[in-house]
Amino acid sequence: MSIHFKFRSCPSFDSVDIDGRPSISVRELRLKIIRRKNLNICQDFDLVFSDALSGQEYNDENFQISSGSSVIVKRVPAGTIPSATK
Amino acid sequence: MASTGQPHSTLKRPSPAVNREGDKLIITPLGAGSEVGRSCVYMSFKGKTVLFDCGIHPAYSGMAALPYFDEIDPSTIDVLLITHFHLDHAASLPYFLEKTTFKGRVFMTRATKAIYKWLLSDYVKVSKVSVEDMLFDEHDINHSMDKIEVVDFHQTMEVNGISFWCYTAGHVLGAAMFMVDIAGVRVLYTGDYSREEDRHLCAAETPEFSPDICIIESTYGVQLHMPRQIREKLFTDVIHSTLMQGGRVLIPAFALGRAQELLLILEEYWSNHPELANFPIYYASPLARKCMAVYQTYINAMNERIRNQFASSNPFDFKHISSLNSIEDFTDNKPCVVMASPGSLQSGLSRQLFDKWCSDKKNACVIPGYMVEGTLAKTIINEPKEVTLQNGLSAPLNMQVHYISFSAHADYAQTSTFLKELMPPNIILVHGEANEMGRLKQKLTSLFADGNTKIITPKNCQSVEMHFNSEKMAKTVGRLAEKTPEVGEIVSGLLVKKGFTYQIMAPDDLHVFSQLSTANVTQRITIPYSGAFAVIQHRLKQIYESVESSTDEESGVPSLRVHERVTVKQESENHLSLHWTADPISDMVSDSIVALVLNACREMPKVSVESETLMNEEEDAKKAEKIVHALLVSLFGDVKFGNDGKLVINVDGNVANLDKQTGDVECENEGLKERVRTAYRRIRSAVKPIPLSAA
Repeated sequence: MSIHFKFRSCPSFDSVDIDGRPSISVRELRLKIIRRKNLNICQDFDLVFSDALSGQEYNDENFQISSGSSVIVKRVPAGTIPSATK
Repeated sequence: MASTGQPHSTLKRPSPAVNREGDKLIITPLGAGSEVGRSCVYMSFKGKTVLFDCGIHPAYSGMAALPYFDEIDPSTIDVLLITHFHLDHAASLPYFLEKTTFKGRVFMTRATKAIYKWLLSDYVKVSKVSVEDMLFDEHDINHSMDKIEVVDFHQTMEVNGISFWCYTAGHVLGAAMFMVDIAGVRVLYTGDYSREEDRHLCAAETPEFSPDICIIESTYGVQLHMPRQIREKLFTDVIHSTLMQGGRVLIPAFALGRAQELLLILEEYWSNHPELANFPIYYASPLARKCMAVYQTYINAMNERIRNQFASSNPFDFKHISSLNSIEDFTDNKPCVVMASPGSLQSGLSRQLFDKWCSDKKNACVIPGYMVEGTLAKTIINEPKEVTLQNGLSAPLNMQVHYISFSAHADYAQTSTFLKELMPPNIILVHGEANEMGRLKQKLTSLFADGNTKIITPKNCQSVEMHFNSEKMAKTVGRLAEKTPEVGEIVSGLLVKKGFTYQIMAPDDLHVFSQLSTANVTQRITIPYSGAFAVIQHRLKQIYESVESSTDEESGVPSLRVHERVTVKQESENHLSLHWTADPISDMVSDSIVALVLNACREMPKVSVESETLMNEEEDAKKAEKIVHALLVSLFGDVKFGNDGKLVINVDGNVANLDKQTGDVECENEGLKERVRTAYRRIRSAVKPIPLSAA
């Protein structure tokens, strides 16, 4: 039960475990990835998620991403996405 | 504006509002945009992409320290140019090479490459973060060394249509300013530079012509440096007095770079002040000795003064300075001076010593370099009452903190002079804190208020777009260039494009001026033909003026040369062959000959078919009758063959007799009579073709 993710500039996928749940919200996934990659030491960036297959961006924080999905992560400077809530 | 002694201005006219995809130049800072740290500037023009520098942010570790690589596609980058070995310009290179999709080429100067290796190894050892958090390891650094290509100062390189060369930038050993030329548009990226010569480095050069765009550092914004001698005196005075009162001096600085300048100053000072002989100076870095050896290899990149010194003795062979590998080797029993890395005081040896000494007011910390926002070095400048130690506990900050900058960046005086000499039409400020940069922009705007100079201060991931309407120029070379054509004369040749240069030449000169050459293709086609060769000859003569008949030398068969281009041979009784050298006209001639021969093949059986046409006519007549009959049946239903060849049509009891030859109808019913007559007339005209002439 995991979500595969990859930063846009990286060539290969990594994965986070979602503890046996069938899906996870965008907000929670963001926190997990930030913790995993030790990005929580600074506040000046945002993570933008998009579906690896369709390219569609996940703009809604509460949207549930199902287990086994592949997600592309884009690290951008903070303040560039008006819709994202911290 | 264009006076002698000043660089020439460019011929470009800024393009009007109409956007042409090919002429749009995009510059995006992925780091060091309105900040200092993680320098990384992306540039794209005419399908070519260049990345300048690849650094990390000293205030962070792990992925957070990286430039915003996700903003672009690393695989599209053709060339990556690194200006110098400082961490905030080169430290994410191993990561970028090993862990992203980048597959372009990397260039830096010789000295930069040698020192980069040791500096990054030092960084890896010194920043003791968790293994997971490490962006790269020793293996990645070594692997990256193979991929880095070396470029000398003033050496022009050309990669995939991108030309570039570099100028001395001062600042640190091997630091360069890169000038990139794509399709005639020139961009100068200064990296970090200083126009003041110091003990061992040259001052930055001024390029001989002005670039269209200048991407320039703005670290010191509108500040002015204190004069060099005052600065050095202040430095040595602070150290001297601290030692005299029994305190220790900590100088946080990275093992290589400005440290060498400071060591030269200290060595000289100690030589001139024998009373300090008992106070040791330590140069602390795990790789201290190796770094120094590398540094000494590149004296040719240093200034004349120190090169002359080398003639008599090695100026880096310090008598008063000893090296220290780690804190275990250090016996802290008397006042001393320790220069230790890193300069940011984030971790490592300098941090360990800081934690030890910060609470004693006799001690001093002299910060010799630019402090990046978010680092401990920057924090203590404001002399807070307390600091947090590495173990998490708080401790009072009683030690004296002095900031004396030797960091060899251009100050406002140098920046404004440099830009005034160059007069670039576009200036992009990077590598400066937002406020400082804003002040610089204001001052520069008023400085350039007369001209058309644009000054931009982009943030990270904020793209700057510029349009360049450059003229395309094609030069004639070789035979075509021998004589200047008159107005109205037609010049024709081949247009050869290499990268962004165009040349026009005669086809014969192709192999001289390019790596291309022309070749001839001889074509041959065989056609089955069993008729007389004379027939072909006869017909060809009717079409073409020049048909020469002869006998083929090798095989002795009759052959024809048509239009001086195509040779037709009768290879055997059953087939002909055509030979020609491929070119548009010969191809056309051979096509027509092929058609002619095939036509001749088809026509021949016609002679014996003459008699058949008669029979065909009879068949035609029979067919026509059948059709007429079928049509009449469909119209009237009951149609029978009567005696004497007439057709009997019966509709609702009314009988009509139709004479097929004349079209006359006999019928008592006038209506039916008319109908049949009209119908028959129409059917007849449909079945038999209309004569063309009224015969």
